Amino acid sequence: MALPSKVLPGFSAALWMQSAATPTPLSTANLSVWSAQVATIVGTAAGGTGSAGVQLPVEAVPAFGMDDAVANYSVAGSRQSDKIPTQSAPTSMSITAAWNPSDSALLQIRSDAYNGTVDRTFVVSAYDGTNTVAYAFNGRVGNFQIDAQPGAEAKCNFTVHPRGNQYGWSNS
Amino acid sequence: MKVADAVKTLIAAQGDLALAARGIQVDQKELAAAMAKVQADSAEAVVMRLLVKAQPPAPPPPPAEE
Repeated sequence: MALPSKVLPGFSAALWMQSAATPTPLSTANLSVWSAQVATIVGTAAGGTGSAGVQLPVEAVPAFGMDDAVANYSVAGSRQSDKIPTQSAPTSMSITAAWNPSDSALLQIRSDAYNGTVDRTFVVSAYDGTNTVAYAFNGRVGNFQIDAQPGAEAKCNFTVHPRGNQYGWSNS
Repeated sequence: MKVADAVKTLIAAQGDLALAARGIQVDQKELAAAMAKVQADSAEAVVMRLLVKAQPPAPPPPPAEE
């Protein structure tokens, strides 16, 4: 996918997702299209329209992208196994958020985690007050845990697993 | 394949579009003409850019006869 044609000198990052309970994720080509596609998921607070999206109240946007992957093989009787480098695997995003049981976005994430097969478009937006650069990807929620220790505010942890090759960059 | 059909196929596809584009051959003149008309921030432009990258280089011109 082409990289965005913008450079933001300073920005705030936010995470957004499609708001529908059973969304139709954007096609791979549309993940790179800002107008009427990615912009509908990004809210007005980050330069989008937000008509089909909601913000996830995450503590911090985790690292995203991809990392190398390796396939392991071993042959019975051989002293050493073989590691075959393969093409890049998308990075799973482990996310921590303050647990608010009435937050519709977190409830939707919990519902997705229970289901396990809901594909949804997520967007990481970088906004400098005027321009937005967006990294959009399709992913599934893999786990959802609530950490309710008495000594701190309740938190929830969940992981978004991006689908391979389904990502795109765009900008406003 | 016609450019319009290739674009339609790729826009609807999920997965690795660059790989899918490599499996499609289109007429390069038709593709260049379509590129000139398409809006930059659109799904059509995204897949056409991939098609341009995926097309084999044009064959060299025949040697001039003397």
